[in-house]
This record gives sequence, structure tokens and C-alpha cells, in this order.
Amino acid sequence: MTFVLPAANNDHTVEADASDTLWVVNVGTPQATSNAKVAGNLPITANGKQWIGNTAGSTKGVVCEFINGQTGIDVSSDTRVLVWAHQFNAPNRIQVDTLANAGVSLRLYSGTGSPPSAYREYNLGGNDTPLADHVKGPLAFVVDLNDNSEDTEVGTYDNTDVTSYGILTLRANIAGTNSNYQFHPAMFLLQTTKTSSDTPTFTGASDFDDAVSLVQGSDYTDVLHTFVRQIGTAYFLDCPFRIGDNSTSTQFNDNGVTVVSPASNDANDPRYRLTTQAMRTYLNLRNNAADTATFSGTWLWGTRAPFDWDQDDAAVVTFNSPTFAGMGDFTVGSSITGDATWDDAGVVIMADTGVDLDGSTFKNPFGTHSVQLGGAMDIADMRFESYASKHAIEIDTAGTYNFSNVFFDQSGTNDVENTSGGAVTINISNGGTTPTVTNTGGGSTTTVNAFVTLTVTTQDAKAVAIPYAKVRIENASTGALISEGVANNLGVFSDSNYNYGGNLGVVVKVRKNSPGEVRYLPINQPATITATGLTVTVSMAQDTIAGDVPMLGIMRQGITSEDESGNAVITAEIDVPDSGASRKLVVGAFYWDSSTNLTMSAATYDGNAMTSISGIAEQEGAGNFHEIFLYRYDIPDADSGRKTISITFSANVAIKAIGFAIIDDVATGAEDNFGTHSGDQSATNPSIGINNSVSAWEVGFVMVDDLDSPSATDEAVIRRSDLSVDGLKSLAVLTVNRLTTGVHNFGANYGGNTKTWVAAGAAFAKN
Amino acid sequence: MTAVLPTAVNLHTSDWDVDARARGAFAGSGEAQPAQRIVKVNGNMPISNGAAAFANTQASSSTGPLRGIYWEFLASGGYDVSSDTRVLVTNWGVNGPDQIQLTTLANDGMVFRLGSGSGNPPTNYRTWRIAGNDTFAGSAVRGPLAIAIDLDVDDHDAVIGTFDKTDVQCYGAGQVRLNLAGTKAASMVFSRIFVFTTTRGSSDIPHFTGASDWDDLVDLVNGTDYSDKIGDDWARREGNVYLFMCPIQFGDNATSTQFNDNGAIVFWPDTAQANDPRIHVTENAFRVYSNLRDNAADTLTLTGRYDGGNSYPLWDFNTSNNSSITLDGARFKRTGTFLVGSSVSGAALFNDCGVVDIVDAGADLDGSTFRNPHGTHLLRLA
Repeated sequence: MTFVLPAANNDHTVEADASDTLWVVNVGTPQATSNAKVAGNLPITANGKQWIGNTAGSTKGVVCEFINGQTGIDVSSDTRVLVWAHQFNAPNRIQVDTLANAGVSLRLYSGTGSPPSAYREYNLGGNDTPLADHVKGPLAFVVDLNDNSEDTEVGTYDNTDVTSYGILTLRANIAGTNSNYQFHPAMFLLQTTKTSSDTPTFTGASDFDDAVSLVQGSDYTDVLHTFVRQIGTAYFLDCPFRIGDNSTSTQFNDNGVTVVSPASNDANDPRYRLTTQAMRTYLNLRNNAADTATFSGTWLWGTRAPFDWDQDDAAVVTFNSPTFAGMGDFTVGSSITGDATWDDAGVVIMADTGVDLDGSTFKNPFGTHSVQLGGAMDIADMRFESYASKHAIEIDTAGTYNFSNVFFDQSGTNDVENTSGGAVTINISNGGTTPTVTNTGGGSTTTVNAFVTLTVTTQDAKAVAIPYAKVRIENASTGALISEGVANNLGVFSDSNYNYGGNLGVVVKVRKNSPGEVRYLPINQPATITATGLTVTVSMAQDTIAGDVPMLGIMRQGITSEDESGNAVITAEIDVPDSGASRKLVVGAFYWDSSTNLTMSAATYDGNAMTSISGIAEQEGAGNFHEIFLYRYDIPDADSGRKTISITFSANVAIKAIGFAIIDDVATGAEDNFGTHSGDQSATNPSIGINNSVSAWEVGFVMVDDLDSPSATDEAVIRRSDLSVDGLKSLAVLTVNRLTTGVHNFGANYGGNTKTWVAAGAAFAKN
Repeated sequence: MTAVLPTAVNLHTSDWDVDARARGAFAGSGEAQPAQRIVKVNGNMPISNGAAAFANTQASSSTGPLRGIYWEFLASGGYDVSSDTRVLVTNWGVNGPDQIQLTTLANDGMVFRLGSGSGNPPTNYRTWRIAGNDTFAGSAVRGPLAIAIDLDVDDHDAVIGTFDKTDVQCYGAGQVRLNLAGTKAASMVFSRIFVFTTTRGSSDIPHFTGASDWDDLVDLVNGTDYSDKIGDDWARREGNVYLFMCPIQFGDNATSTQFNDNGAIVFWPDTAQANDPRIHVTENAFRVYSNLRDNAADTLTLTGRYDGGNSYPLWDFNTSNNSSITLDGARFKRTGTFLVGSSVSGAALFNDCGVVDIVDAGADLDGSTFRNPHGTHLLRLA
């Protein structure tokens, strides 16, 4: 809505003589200085200060002061820019010499005098540059009062006392014999700081069209100048500017356009003479969430002007992938979120740890680093490219930094420079590059942790998961242990704490070949841990030799985790092997409930009802009901793959769990008649006795109800005769044993610790 | 190294009264020729040449009548643009700031006409309003501003008779004088005029050969000093930003060509802008072609950013031979259909473009991004 400019320093609508209170003197006695060109100003309804270079080979011009009485301006700390334009009257009135001969030049004077004796002179154009190779209307030029690219200096220019300026031409006839005629629109003397009201400012719901509209006007009555221009969706702003004035509601949006700021002292068109302070930009929004600035465009700066966008308050500044190029250091505050690309810019300085530029790309840094972090903070999804002989990131504050998926192309001296003088820890995650580090200055130390995940999946030849296989990952060269453990019931082993230090060759060893279960040949599979970790799937072949023992095979066994959802149903998924025949599934279902002595309403395998096995342990009493229900099911020989077991209790139940076993090659029809299947409950050592007359498989389940207050010495042990098998601290413990004929005692021991309620049950499958 | 332009249709260095291509004056109701037809000394480009000009001394009025004149394109006959259009590019200016003196755009401040048929002056013509004191070109003196008119465009503001696209013979310039500042007559100054063809391999399409870049065309048009400047505004550079108002062809299928855009940002203007309607084009006017030889030495490398403007012109890189067209990192916006042959490779961004049509399966745009389709699809596979 609004682009705000200060008042012109001099509108140049009157003659170059005493009519102009800021006129100082003429140089070389130009003709007709007391002549204002009709329509020679902007808008054309105003006259322009006209003067004529009427002598071939002679330099002539006019000199004005910035402030009445030649009061000096001190630009030694913060510069100001003179924004003006030069216009020849008509194509046959150009008649100036070349650039090198100062065809058109500007002088900046310091001190007093008519004119002052000390000045810098800038050659702005000639008949061999755009300023004077043809008539163009008012062509903007900008000279920084602190610029030192002058072509000539006379005396000693004092930048603490800048008082006056002059425009001059050297006449050289290039077509015809006319004199050169020129005039000028208003001259603006702009400030370049964040706090000055004389710095151009966007407020309200504004965009770059507002600048164009103000400067270029809407018709012949309100054209102001030419130092803001538009070509298609490219906008050229020959001035510094602020977004917001810290007092007016502001919602700025660059609308994805291209914004161009001029280069200084271009050899082919040196109309711009700028220090790095001249074209500074600022975010200056109120501390108010209603103030917003949104950027998605391309910002191309021709000078290394710093961008001070250190907005750290309630204002909302959004980067939607803008591109910034050519400017100097770019300070970013915590009000800013979003991704951007900096290409050939100064250091992107994160002013504090709240800055969120995740997703950004930084390349070809002009500064010593691409980014300076704002303190111990997290960054993610960033890319750092092409920083030869430099560092991508500077860390100047000790602490811990988390880099998630941060990519370094490692083109620089090193990726990170720690200048904090203290200890820095960098944690790398999610596949990012592990950075190389330079520690600068005494006391700077850096630890890089690159935690990646090692995952091993075990499966059989049919790609069916093999649960509970032992996994060991060793250094392929040294044999040193990298990681080890047991795959879960879905056949997955995972270790997320491996600290990546470079690619490493490893051997993945997988074993599952214990008696009493389906046995597989051992696996020693080479692999490489990379920056993204390790993901390996091993396919295991059944060990038919070791498995050829006088025992029936336990093909699968498993147990669910405790279910305290409080509803009536519990399900479990099991993987049925694509092998074997006459396979028997035995399922144990457990519950504890404080109020209800439950029965079962349904038990299914893959939607088919299973057969109940009766006579199981139960402990009943007010407030404590524990029970184990056992089921069996003859798995069709054709079945394989993942199946669902579903147990439905007669009512909602507080705690429940499922255990199962699949036993191969079991005769059908006599299993319920074999031996004894029963239950028992005891505070410490529940036990059942078995007296069988033939060899058989026994599947036992134990229920432990002390999970809400476990002790460190607890253990659950399934004990059969003199055979102990370590169990787990779990609601349900499963064991599968091969029984010989005779009497067997089957029970549980809890390491001497008394449990409030325990129960045991067993079922048997006859071979 | 080389940008190539066709010969100008008319340099406009002569007084209209003695120009063999003069084709009569505006002759509609109340219309007439301007009172003074002259040669403006130094008014052409380069300024060593005079320029056809006129001074309109008609009494100041916000509503007219128009004063204007016509020239014919060719010594005989006209252009047939019914199949493939041509685009006219020229520069018009005023002599000085006190000679703008135009009424508003709506009142025909400055108009452009295209005439068809053999009438002298033409009796079948279309009129486009291109400037007024309330538009960019007429609100202040701007130097010689570019005008680009597609001979096939149908967005004219008025038509008299039946305009015949198979026989476009002449063009005209006119204005309505309204004194804005001072009392001087209104002036118009005319520079050389080009009529570009717009198809691949055609004789009059601007093109690049040799080891070339965008600067070659800018420098050819703008010259190095006052002595060799031939145009302004329609081939521009500010910093690394370029604007062109013409079709472009890379290579001529005969000359060794190695074009590199050096990461430039390149625009083509929007057509029919309300506040500056100097451009009226169809989607065919600003087409861009590759036309490289079947030779591995021919290369076209684009890494910059391109905005085809709201006419969404075709980009035809349907080159499938031994030449190499590399689009690595290039960003394209508002192109029309973008044809891709097997010589093309690289990861580019296509945003708000027509269908990127991979004509040959050998093309490799792996890594590219496509979004906001202007066409029915983002991408069409071979």
C-alpha cells in the first residue's frame, strides 16, 4: 500500500542562480543558467533546472549545497546516497565527450567555498555509455557520499563535512553543432540506516509495485523519478530500503518477483558509485504478530550491502524459497522461518538460536563462512555447496548442536569451524554428512557424533520373518564387535546408537540353530555401514542336518506384549512357515481382572474357530481373577504367511496376553487324551505334574502378575524336572519342551521373590 | 560472439514525405496527416542519423482528432501471417519533454495501426492504443521506447474494414494532441523497424552463432557508443537481468555455435499491459528455438532463469542429434509448450509452463522439478 520516501533535498525546478536558495555557484559559466526548461522536470508539469554547455571542449556545470550555509554532513559512520538523474533536452543536444574525458561528471564537495576547494569527481557517463549515447529521458544515477571510487580528487575530501555537489559536462560535438542542453529532476539525499526516516520504507500491505507506483507515477502529473523501475517481473531499486518503520502495521510480500540492486562503478555504465553501506536493507517490523513479511522472490545485489533482517519478536517473517545473491552479510532473526537459497552472499548470521532456516541451501559464500550459527541449536535439511578455501559453518558458542540431514559437499577447508574457545558437540542424524572440523583458537574442541541406525531383518527362503535370531555385527577387518542382539518377533534387529565415523565394512552374523526349534544355517554376510546407517536383510536356509534329531520341530513360538487396553479382544499376528505338515498350533490366552471371572466367547485362527483345551489354572477371588485358557488348531498344510489369532473374552478385561507355538509333524486326534493338562496357582512357585506314557511335546505357559511393581531381582523361570529355561519378566512366559515318558513337574520359580498371584498351565501335543 | 538480426524493414531516416514506403495519412473520420513531417536531426539510432518525425499542431483537445501516417512494409505486396506470424519491433520517442503533449490512452493518446490490402491509405486496418499521458510511455519523456506488435494478434482496440492476415501491407503511427505542459506541438520520432519471422530456420529470426551469450544481442542493438547504437529498450540489460522483445534461435544449423547464458535472468514482456500497452503479441511471437548442427561441437548451455511473459511462447528444443543442450539448474517460468529432443539433458525447474513434451526418449531431464502446470499436464513422456 505504501512506499515512503523523504522529501527531495532539492526539486531543481528553478534556475541555477539565486532563485535556488541551495545554489552555490556555476562552473565554467554555462549559458542560460537563468532558464528553467518547461516540462523538464518530473512530473513534466514542473520545470527543470536547465543549463547549457555552449563551448566546445569546455567543462561547465552547476554547484548546489545540501544544506543552507554549507552545513556539513558527517557520513564517516553511516553513509548517505545522492539519488538524482540527468536528462538531455533532445537527441541533437547531447554533445558530450567520452566517459574517460568526463563527458558527464558529478562532484562531491567538502568544506565551504564557492565552490569548496576539496572535492571528489566521478565520471558518470559519456558518449560511449548509456548516459549519453542517445537521448533517454531522465536517467538515474546514485553516488554514495562516502564512495572512494572517484576518478579525481582535488584537495582532501572530508567525509565528516560533506556540503555540496555539482553536475558538469564536457562539450564535444558528436552530431551537428548544437550545444549540450541538460536538466534534472529532483535530487534525493537518502539515509541508509535502519532507524532513519530518510531511508525509503515499505509499510502497510505493500509490495514492490508500491515503489514503482510512487516513483513512476500513474500519469504525467505524478511521475516522481526513475530510480525505481520495472521490467516484467524484475524490479530495479537504486536505493536502500526498510520493510516496516517499527510503528506502522506492515504486511510486505515480494510476490516472487526479481529484485535488482545496482553494481558499483560498472566499467560500461558507471552511474552508480556505492560503498557497501549504500544499498542496505532492513526488516523493521513491529513486535506484533500482525506484522508480516513474506519472501519468495529472487534478490540480486550488485554491492556487498549487508542485510539486517534481525527481527526477533512476534512479527512473522516467512521464507518461501527466495534466492539471495550478491549482497554482504545477511543477519537473520528468530522471527524468520522457512527455507531460502543464498548463492554468492556474505555470511548468513543466525542472530540467535530461535532462527529456523531448515531446508535452506548455501553455496559460493562471499564471506569466510556460509553460515554462522546463533548458539547451541538444531538445524535440519540444509545443503552447503562450493565453499572452497572456506568453511560452511562457523560455531562461535560452545554447546551441543544437532544436524539432521545436513549435507556438506566437503569442497572447503573444512565443513565446520569451531571458534568458540570451548567444547562443541555435533550430533549428526538422518543421513547427513559427517562434517570435517577446524578448531580455531585455544580451547576449541569438537566432538562429532554421527548416530545412525543398524537394521538387520531375518527371513527364510520364502521371505517369511524368522523371529528371535541372534544377530552380531563385526568389523570386517578386525572382527571387533560393532553391535549385537536378538531379532524381535517380526525378525527385525535394530540398533540406533551406532556412531558413524566413516564408511565401514562389516560382517553381519546371524544365528538360529538351537535344539528344540527350527534350525537354520549360520549367516556371515558382508555389508557396509554408511552415513545413512546399515539396512540388511538376511535370508536363512533351514539346517536340515542339525534339525534331523529325534525331536519334533518347534517351527514358531512367540508371545504378545501385555495388553491393558481394557477391551474384550486381543489379537496377535503369527508367521506360519511354508514348510512342514500336520502342524499344530497351541495358543495360550491369559487375563487378570479385578472384578469379573471371565469365560471365553471366541478364539480364532485366521477367522476359524480353535479348539478349547480345558482344565487350566485359575486363581479366583474378590478383586483378583487370573486364568489361562488353552487352544489348539490343526494348521492346514497349505497355510503359510502371516495369520491372525484373535481371542475374545466374555467381557472387557483389564490385562491380557497371548502366547503361541507351532509344532511340526504332530499326529492329529489324540493330543487331548495324552497325559495331563492342568493348571495351578501359587504365590511363589506354581507347578503342575505331568505323567505321560509316550514322548510328546509340551507347551507351557506361566502367568505372572507383579508387573506393576517389579523388583530388580525378579526372574521367571520355567522349570521342567531339572531343566531350567530363563524366562522373561513378562505377563506371560512361554516354554516349549520335548518330553519323554514318565512323570514331569512343570512349574515356575521366581527367584525366591513372592509374587502376589501367579499361575501356570500346560497343554500337550502327542507326536 | 555473434548475434544476428535481419535487415531493418525501414530505417526511418527519411522525411515521410519523401520516403518511398510512405503509404498515405490517417484518413478516418476527422483524421489527417500531421501538419509537419520532418527529419529530426540526430533523432535516429545511431544519433548520427536523422529520424522520420512529425509535429502535430492540431489544436489541443483531449478527444482528438487523430493525426497520423502510414508506411508500407514491402515495396510490393504484404506479409501472409495466417500460418506463422511475424513480430514488428521498433522504437518511438518524442523530441523533448515539452513535446509529449498527448491525451489519455482511452482517447487515443498514441496509436499503432496495421493495414492490409493495397489501399493507399489502407481501408482495412486495426488500431491498438499503445500510450497516453496516463501510461508509462506517455507520462514523461523516456527516450526511444520499444513497441512490439504481433502481426497476427487479435486484441486490437478498433478495426475498420476487414483485416486480411494473408496480406498485411502497412503500419501507421498516430496521436491526439493535448497540451500537458507548455504550448508546443506534440512530436513523434521514429527509429528503424524490424519485422522478425518467428519459426525455426526462417530467414529473419534473431539468432546466435559462434561462442555467444545474451550480451551479444544486447551489444548489437545498443552498440558500444553513440555511433553504433541501432535500437533501445527491446534488447536490454541491467546488471545480470535481460529483457528481449523478439523471438530467439540458438544456432542456424550451419554455423558452429556454443551459446552459454552465464546464469543470466532473462525476461520477455507481458502482452497488453493495462498501464503500458506497447506490447501486443500472440503465443507465437516470442518463440525460442534450438537449431544446432548435428555436431558435438555445437552446444547450448542454459543455467539462468527465464520468464516467457504472459503470452507463454513455445520453447522448441526438439533437437535430437550430436549437439548438446544442457539445462542444468535452469529455471523456466511462463513458457508455453516446451519441446525436448534427445540432445537435451540436465535438471531444470519448470514452473507455470506449458507441457514439457519429451519428443525423443533419449532426452534426459532427470532431477528436474515440474510444478504449477500451465498446460494440461506437467510432463509428456516420449
